[in-house]
Amino acid sequence: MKKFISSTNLSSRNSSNRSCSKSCSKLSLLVALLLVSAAAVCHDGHHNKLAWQACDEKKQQASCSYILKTNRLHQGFCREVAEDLMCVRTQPIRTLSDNELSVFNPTKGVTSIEPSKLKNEADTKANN
Amino acid sequence: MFNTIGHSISLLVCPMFRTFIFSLFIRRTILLLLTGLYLAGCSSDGANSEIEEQVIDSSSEDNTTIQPEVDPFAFASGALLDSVVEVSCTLNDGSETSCYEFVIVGAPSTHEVGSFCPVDIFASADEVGIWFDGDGEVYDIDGQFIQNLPTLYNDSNWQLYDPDTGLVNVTDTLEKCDGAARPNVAAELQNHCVECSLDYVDGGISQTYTIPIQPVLAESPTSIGRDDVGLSLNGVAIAPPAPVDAILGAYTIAAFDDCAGHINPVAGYHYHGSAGCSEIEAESDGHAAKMGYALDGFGIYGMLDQQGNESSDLDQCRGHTDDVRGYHYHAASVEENMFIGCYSGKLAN
Repeated sequence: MKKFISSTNLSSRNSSNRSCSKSCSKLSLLVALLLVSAAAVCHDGHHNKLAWQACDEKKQQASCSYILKTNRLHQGFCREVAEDLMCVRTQPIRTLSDNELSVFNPTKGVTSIEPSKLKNEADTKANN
Repeated sequence: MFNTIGHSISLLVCPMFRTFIFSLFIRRTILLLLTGLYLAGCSSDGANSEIEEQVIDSSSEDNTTIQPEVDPFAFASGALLDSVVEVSCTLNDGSETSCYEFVIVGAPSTHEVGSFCPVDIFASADEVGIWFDGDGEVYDIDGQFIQNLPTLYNDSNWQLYDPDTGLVNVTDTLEKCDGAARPNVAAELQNHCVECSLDYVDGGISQTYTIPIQPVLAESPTSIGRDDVGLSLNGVAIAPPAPVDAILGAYTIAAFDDCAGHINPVAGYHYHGSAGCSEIEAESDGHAAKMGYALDGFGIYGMLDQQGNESSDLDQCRGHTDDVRGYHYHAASVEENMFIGCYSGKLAN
């Protein structure tokens, strides 16, 4: 992909109402900053803790799921996003019932239990 | 009807679009006339309704589904810095095609850049921006949030404000903003709420995106890297997920405004989540509004349709196909810190 940062256009866009010294000073500073690569400015590390943990020890395209603090279930597939293997949600967010939640660790967080199994176990528990 | 006419007039009087519209109009008119004459000679039933689809689908490799072209007129006034240019381009499978070059302004043309950090620990939610931390929550960065950081992250090293004055540590200069928006944040810039001004980047950093005019599905998806994912219809870069882990590791909060965008000295203003601020292209059939285009040329729409429902047939890239829009993506929720999961289409090199 051809992609560039057009500082020239920006400087010319507003040049009419700015003094030269101010523009030059700002432009110099901007150019200096642009010399720092975007990669250097970007931080490292995961981008979504739960989505990242949900794909720990999984491979790309594996199914995944995780539950938020607010009992919302995210289900999807592991995909590499920004060099992290993350659980990309593909199903609508569903708030779990207490029965469904009781199947899981009550501290919530990451789960690797498949949603179909979740429903079956919750149903079984409810019937008992 | 009047809105359509008004929109057309506003486009025509805008110098940015004038050249493009003329060339596009001529090209399309000739194509339509030729195709119409051809179809009139071989089909008499429903030929007119087929003309648009035949033209649109003329360069598609997948003829089973009508795939609309990228629509340069979908962009809001003021979103693009230069005229849209049609160029030859090579896709990542080596095939040659035509692409549009979009030069975005790099600042939202449809809304103001909002507030980011609170001034002090007494600030209310309506005075500040938001933060999402990877735990699936979206927080208002109000005074209470600032005070609650040691509890929220179970780390007593969080101290984002002066306990004597209640003033929050904010990166209120270009030097501080730049120093805090990079790895290995200096000790004196840790425990800061990071915000940068558009003034530091002269109002916005324009960027050019080359996108296939006729998007084509690839045999297998392409992973999203650390570069932008696409561009919004209001002239803002759609960025990859924000690295919240590293940001928190430096005891900083890289505040977003309520539109899930923020500024750094290299990328300027960019979105890290879909908060609805760029969903400006309404759909008449109740579908979610379009908010932008991914780099592969497929449209990105809001997460929810107009009834508040989300599609249940999304693929791993968060895309699916319907009869009106062909293949397209739906953005994830803000707290997911992403827009789409991968590229389903071929990318321009």
